[in-house]
Amino acid sequence: MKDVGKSMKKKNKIVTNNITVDYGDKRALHGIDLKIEEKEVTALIGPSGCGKSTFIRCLNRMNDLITGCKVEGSILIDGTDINLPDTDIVELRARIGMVFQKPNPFPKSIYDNVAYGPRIHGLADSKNELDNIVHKSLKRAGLWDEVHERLDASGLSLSGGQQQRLCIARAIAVNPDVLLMDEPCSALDPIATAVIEELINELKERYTIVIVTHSMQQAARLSEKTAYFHLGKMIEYDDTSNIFTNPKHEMTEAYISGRIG
Amino acid sequence: MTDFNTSKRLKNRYKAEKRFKVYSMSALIIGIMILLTLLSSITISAIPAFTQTSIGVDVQMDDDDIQQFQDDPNEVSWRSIQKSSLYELFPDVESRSQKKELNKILSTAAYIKIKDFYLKNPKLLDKKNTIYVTASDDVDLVLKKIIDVTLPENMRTVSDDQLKYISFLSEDDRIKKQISWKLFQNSDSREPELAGLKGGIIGTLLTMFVTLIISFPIGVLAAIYLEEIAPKNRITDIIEVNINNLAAVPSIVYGLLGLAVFLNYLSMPRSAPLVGGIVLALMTLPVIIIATRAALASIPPSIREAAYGVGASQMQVIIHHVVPLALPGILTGTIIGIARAAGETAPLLMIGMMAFIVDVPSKITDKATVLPAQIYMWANNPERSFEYLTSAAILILLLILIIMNLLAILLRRKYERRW
Amino acid sequence: MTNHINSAFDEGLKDVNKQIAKLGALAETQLDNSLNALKDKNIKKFESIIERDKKLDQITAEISSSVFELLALWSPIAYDLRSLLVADRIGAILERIGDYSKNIARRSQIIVTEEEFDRLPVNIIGLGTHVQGLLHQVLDAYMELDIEKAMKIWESDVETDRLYLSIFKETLQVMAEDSDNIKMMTHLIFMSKNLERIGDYTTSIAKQTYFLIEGKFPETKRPKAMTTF
Repeated sequence: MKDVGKSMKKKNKIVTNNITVDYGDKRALHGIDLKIEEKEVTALIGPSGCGKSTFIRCLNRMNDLITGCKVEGSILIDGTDINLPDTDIVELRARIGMVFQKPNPFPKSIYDNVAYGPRIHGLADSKNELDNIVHKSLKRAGLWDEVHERLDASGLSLSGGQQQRLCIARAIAVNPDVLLMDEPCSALDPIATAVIEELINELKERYTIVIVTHSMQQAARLSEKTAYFHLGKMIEYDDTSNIFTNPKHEMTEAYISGRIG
Repeated sequence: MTDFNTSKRLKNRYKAEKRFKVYSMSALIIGIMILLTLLSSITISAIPAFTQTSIGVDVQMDDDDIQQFQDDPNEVSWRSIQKSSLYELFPDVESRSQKKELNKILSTAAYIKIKDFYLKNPKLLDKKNTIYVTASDDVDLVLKKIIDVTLPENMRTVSDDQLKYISFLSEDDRIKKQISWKLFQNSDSREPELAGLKGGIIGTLLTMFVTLIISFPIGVLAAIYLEEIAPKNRITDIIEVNINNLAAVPSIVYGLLGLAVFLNYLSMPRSAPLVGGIVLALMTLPVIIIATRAALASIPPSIREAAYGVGASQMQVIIHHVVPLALPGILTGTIIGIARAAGETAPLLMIGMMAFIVDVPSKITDKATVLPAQIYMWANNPERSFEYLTSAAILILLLILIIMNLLAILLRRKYERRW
Repeated sequence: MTNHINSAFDEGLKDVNKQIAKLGALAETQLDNSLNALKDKNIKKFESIIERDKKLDQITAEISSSVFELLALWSPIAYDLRSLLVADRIGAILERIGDYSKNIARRSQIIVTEEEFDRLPVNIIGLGTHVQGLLHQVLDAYMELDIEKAMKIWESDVETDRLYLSIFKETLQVMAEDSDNIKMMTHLIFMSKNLERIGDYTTSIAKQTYFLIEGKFPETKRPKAMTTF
């Protein structure tokens, strides 16, 4: 079980303060306060449309791409508010990587998929260094053994699970601190899902991971902390073992047990 | 339980399905047949353009001429050599008017063949040689029985005497028909047997070149800005509506614009591919913009999100990811636009490219004409012989368009990437 | 608690509850019958009580397998998980209570057929009645999810212990005075021990009920009259 002493020593990687998101007139998030600890997996659960994906996209300013979307409140990452207008978004998105629901590798070779990020951020001075980064990323994503003999093959020639691992490798190639995962396994079969879950277990030793998931069991298996969202509000946020054995709120209990209302 | 197998509804449905298939296949067949009919009729009618009738004359150069040739071949009076060689075949022809008639059997530029022959075979200068020279187009028409010889003489282009001369030469085996590529080697001429498309083809290519280098970069960049960068507000909506409207504007309006602004106000050279290219570029611009925007919009947002997610800037997302994937669509739209421009005549009319221009243009500021204009002018020519020339020119234009389309398909194949 | 969206799960849970209720009623009846049979020296009844115990075993096995299946198929969590685990545990407890009642009947059979006596020398019936009351109340507390009722049972074990102790002391005394009826007295000691154990089990049921409602076990130590005897 959780070592209480250990979690007290861990510091907060991300602290959000009163995050409000509006799409035009419609309010999608009502004042979310959340503290995410470093090098842990934090799961966000809740029914469709509850705002969990919207919230996660605030953390790397992906909501900026949506016209008419307004994000207010402060998002402190290692103490710096990234929701200020003078934030270097390109740099932010290198530090906070994202993996999407449907695997979306670039229509390039496997090597180029992973190398693209380091290239544009100038992380490698020589071809050798770049090769090293690609090798390391693919290895950490658990894909190296399967693809190292065909790095020139198109990223799209891989299976669904492999493509998602390629996307993970691509995200970690730019050396982020945080990995945001928006339902990363929902398009995959159970075996591929299990492989990725095992990978997440290994990755959390290096990266802070925030995962949005529709599967209660997945949140229960993977995360240290779970937050339950409902209609744009955060209803409960606690250690995962508490949420799933004895949640405090009726709404949480009803949702996780599959009850009406 | 309903019986699924023998109901009447099922039979009717199968019949309806079959009818539908038959209808759609018939439509396809009808379309193909119309196309084939059109193409075959043009092709058949164009065949004579690729043949040349020649008449063999016996040429004996005298010593003065030989001497002159060795000094300067251009100073030799080839015309008189041509005439005298012909007269020798018809010793009975004496009067001036008859000789004139006789001469008309040969093309006005027939002597060039004699000159070329001796330039190629200088060793044969002192010998008597049977040299085949270009015949006038009337000879061909007579031999093909296109000219109605039963008509009274004053209703034909060929006189009775000429008919006699022609049949004599024919019986003497002096009339030869060969495949010739003069259509591609000569520029326009009043004489059908000498008229060629070289000027028109080069003019078209030069104009297309100008059109391409102006409309492609401007069109693609404008489309990128409108689709990827500009905020979606009323102003961009208005711009989009107006671009769509511009694509439907009749092409002659662009010609008027070209006349007023480029020729009159800016004093650019008249009848030049430069101006023609600019006018056609303006016409092609909306087509390219619309096609490029559609290609860009068809790229799914997941590609962009993936690139942004890794920390790419907007420019990097567009250049590294969106445009390469949209390239097949962009290229297709561009080639379609250019091909359409290649077949335009109305706007070029206003800026003077519908003129009879004999010289082959060498740069974009030279006077030139384009293939469609040439086709139009030849079609308007009353001489019978220009009929097959017009058909041949149409075939050439179609060939150029097909080559451009093939190019488009090849480029598409090369750059096609699935996502 | 509102219903589950998947009514099949609710059906399954309802079935388990019905079985537990049946098991609880049976356990109470067995205890009641065994005490009455002893009081009335009803030899025929002893046999039927012993025979009836098989039914309790069967129902307990059914409850266990239903719980197992529901856990496998529905992966319940939080309250649902607790309610299934608790049902399984209480089922096992009630089966053991039933065993003790059977044992009382068996021993009663022996002393009634082999010994001659007018009245029972010790107030084992009093202890039995008290324990019956506890069992009835705790099953009510479980069925009604009444945490206060459950906590009262948790605390009233003291009384059971006290009653048992006094019977024990009395029995020792009687045995010391008259060595002829040592056999009967020994059986009576065993029977009163069984009743005391039934009392203990009712506090277990109370503890599980508390766990079901609160999600954790009660913190206070259960008050006892003595440690061992």
